[in-house]
Amino acid sequence: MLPFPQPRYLPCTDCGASVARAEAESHVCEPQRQLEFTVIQLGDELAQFDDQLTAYLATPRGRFEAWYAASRRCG
Amino acid sequence: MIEPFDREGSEGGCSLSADANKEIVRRLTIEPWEGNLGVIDEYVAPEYVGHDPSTPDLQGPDGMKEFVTGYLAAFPDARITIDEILAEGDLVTVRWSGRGTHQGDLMGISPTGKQVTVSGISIARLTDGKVVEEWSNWDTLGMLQQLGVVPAMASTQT
Repeated sequence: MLPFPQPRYLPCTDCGASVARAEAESHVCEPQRQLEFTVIQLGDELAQFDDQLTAYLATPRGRFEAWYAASRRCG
Repeated sequence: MIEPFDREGSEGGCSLSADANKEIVRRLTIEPWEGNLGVIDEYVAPEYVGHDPSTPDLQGPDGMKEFVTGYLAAFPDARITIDEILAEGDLVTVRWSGRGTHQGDLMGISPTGKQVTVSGISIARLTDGKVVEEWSNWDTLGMLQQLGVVPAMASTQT
């Protein structure tokens, strides 16, 4: 039976870099790419956080917190 | 040295030499992905048709630009490198590799941050120094596997 087609390259699961499957074991992640990859992977979560924060700041308690923070900043 | 014209002209027009055609196709393969869409206006004929199984036929320079900008929106750092280029008569064949990081929406797939590498082969037909028709086949399955949309490993159980 013919094997299912396999790509010659696959993205590293830690940093997303395209790595030849034959060289996967010797691959070393670049910290900058790893950071960018993590941010993109967390994109939905970050977007949800923004929505939740905006909603919270619209509540009476959130408005008070924002006012209090601003007043503390201004001394 | 590049011979600008072949002695055997195409029907009704002048035919550039194989080397001149190769240089045109080389630029068209690489430069649009570096942001130079002007090269498409320069070297793609108004009657251009691009055949690619992954997409409906591309029509004219605008069709090619739409294809490139669509993929650049998904892979802003996409770059193509030429592995081999051959020419005969009015045809130029390119074996190429492409690499880019998935940072924008692609066919409804949200950005994954994954870098993909694909390869392909394109054959271009030129008339009067412009590409009039092109046939491309490239590893769309591999791209989707690398993005994790299609499993890279499939069960062989029946």
